Amino acid sequence: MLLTRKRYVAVLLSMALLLIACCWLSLLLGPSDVGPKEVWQVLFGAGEASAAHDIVLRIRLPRTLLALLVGASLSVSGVVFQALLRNPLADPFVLGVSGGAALGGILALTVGTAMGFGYAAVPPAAFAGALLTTALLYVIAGVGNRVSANSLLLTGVVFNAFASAAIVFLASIAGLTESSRIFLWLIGSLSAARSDVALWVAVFLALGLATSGVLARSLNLLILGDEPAEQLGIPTELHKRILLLATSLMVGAAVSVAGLVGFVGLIIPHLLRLCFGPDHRLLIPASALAGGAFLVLCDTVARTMLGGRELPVGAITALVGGPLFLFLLRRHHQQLERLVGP
Amino acid sequence: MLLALGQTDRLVGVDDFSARQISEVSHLPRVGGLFNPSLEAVVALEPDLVVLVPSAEQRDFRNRLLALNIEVEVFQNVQFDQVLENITRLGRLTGAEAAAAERVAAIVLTRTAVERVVASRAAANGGSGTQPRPTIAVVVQRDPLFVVGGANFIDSMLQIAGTQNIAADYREPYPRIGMEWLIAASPQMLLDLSPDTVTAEVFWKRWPNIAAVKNERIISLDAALISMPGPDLDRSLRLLASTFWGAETLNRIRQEEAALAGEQSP
Amino acid sequence: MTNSKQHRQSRTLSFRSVTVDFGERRVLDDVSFDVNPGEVVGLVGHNGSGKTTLVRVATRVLEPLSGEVTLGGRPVAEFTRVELARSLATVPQDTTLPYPFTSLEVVLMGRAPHQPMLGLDRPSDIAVAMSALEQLDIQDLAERSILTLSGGERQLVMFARALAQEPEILLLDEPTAFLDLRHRIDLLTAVRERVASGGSALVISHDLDLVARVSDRLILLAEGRIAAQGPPNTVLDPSVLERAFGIKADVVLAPDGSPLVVPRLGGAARPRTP
Repeated sequence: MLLTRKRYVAVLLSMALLLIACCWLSLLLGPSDVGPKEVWQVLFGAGEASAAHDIVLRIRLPRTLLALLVGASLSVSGVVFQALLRNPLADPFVLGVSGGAALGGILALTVGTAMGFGYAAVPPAAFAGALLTTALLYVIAGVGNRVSANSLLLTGVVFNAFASAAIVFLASIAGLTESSRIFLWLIGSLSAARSDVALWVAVFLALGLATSGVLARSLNLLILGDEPAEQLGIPTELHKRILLLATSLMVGAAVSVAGLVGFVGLIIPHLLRLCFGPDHRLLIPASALAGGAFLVLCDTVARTMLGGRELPVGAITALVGGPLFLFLLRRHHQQLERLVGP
Repeated sequence: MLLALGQTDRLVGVDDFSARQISEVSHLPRVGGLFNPSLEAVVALEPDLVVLVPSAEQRDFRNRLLALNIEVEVFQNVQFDQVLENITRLGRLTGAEAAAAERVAAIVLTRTAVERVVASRAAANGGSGTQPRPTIAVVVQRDPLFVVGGANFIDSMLQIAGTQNIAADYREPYPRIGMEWLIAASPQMLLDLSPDTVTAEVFWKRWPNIAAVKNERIISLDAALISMPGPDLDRSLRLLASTFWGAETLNRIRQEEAALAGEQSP
Repeated sequence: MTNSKQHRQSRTLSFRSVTVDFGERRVLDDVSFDVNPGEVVGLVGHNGSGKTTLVRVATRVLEPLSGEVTLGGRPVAEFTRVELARSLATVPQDTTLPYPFTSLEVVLMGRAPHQPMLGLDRPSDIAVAMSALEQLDIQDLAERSILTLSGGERQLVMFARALAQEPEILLLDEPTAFLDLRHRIDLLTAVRERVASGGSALVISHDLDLVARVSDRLILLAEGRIAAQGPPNTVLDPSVLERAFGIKADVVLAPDGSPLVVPRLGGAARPRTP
């Protein structure tokens, strides 16, 4: 379907409304009895300090915000990597940046705490890990003039394997406390939501979103292939490098705060492409909004499903995302078979 | 427990966790982690008996030891009464029944003493009628937030020491809860056992709407002091009671213990 | 149906002593020829003779070891990428895409060199794209996902994309490879129309007969060098063909005077009953 201004506005508006609805739901729901009336009072009424006030403004609101930011970051990264690698099965973790972040974070969790650093050192350490991996990607995969998709993928796979091995090693010598934190990191959790931490994710999301938004047409053309894109006037190497850098930083920031929340970066691009077409000028902003809504929703479930107890959000995204992905895959195959024969 | 029963000499190997926590056995050969010990290391030491705390990974371990004709004894060590039983059982296994019985008696004595002291204190402070026990949350880890739940020897101790655990309805020993739930439940006392560079007082000040923070009843203890289910439950009980109710409570407990001991001896 | 817009006169595309090495192998050796305005130049030769490489050098995707390509006398290296994209349009051999863009969306991608960096497609862009589709009589494919098209249909869409680019010069690499007779004619007719209104074209093909009939001039490459160039009748000569392709062939004349190459199949021929 052709991307007209009318469609553009309509889709983004509906995604934005969806996001607002999910955020509102997230503010209203929680394991305590703070219900809609009290939430309303806290948000718009007199500002008196009370438990409800704390709960709404200092627990639910930062969580909702962080879920929005992380969900958007992971979705947009998924879209960009799927375009750069010309592979619909790519997710934000495939290039190993998240492995580096996880390793950095878990090193801080285990070795760092043993050396006396507090838990506040974990996100910065994770981000440092992400930075180092990005640099590594640049050096190894950018050898020569061309950034080749295959070198990127291979570097990512190897690095992820290495990071996994190191993490397993650290996990097996870790104490009980660290083990539970490592587990939560690996599956993804938003329980560390605080406003200052959210700020960093917001900064890198803005950067990544702006970059991929501006270069959206290039992303479309890169799908044709590096050479055709160049022959259409795109400075492919420059654009690929910029996109790679901005997206890796975005993923790094999200992972260093929330851990390896899976399936968001894989499912949302697919779903949106199915509904709205593969034009990146629409896909990029739409996936930011939809990804944010999705993770906000998943986190709300994670917080409220078991009463007082809390599940990690990554468990919910996997529970929802796994079957959804299989369904999408089947549908894709069925469609193709119907049209071009088995 | 084996230490308390005077059986140190018969110990030929320990796991890493115990070695770290208990200095007396740190010189012994190590056989691996608490939940993932090395079969080979254990077998190499040629023990007559292996003592295990059960977990999923260890079921297989136990079966393999049995297959190698090594005796294994498994000790469920979560509930208060279980701990007492385990002391007795271990005493029987190692032929140190007398020491075991003594230990158990001491713990039971302290338990009764604490209960009485706490009851009389509540009566004195609250006047007539039954006063509700102050609510408490025991935080084992801050982030992610783990607290002491209901099916737990620590919970029993909290009960004995005159408090009501807000997480008592959770039937698992260490449930992971959301901060929101904790704030809503607003315990009147908060015992923070988590290790972190940020002190408990500073950390919990961020949530001034929790009753414990408002009333400045944030207590910080080293987890090792009370979280090891072993023969020192009496010491743990005394520690908890005096931490909650003040130093003079300790004296009264001692007096009560002496009185009880006097009643019991002929 | 031609575009009503007046095409500008194209400039001469000149290959001057172009030499390209791939590692040890010399793929192009001192190749020089021109593509003049208003002409269709056919490029033929055996597999691996360097035909595709020439196109890649012209679009600056590949740097030659020595020599240069000029457009209107100005070296291609001095153009910005976008300027070059407005003048040269290529249709590559590989046309697969992993994502379900519609044919119209793909053709619109050809408008990129004329569009500002940000923004949706303007009505003028859409008009040019639709016109390109109509020229090839594939406007019905406009809303079809490119994943569902056959190889031939995709090729046509890619060609429409090149037309939408409104270039001076079309560089076509095996443009008729998967097309049926009717669409071959449609495509080559479109090429002729573009050339007639001021452009020029370089057509690489293995279909000697067809390319001979549409080209004004033919260039035969062998082992990276020009083995022959000139009018099709001269180039498609049995002895030239034997030297270049290593096969024996007869050349007969079609009713309109074009040369038809009839290779002697020898062992490959179907046994005939006398």
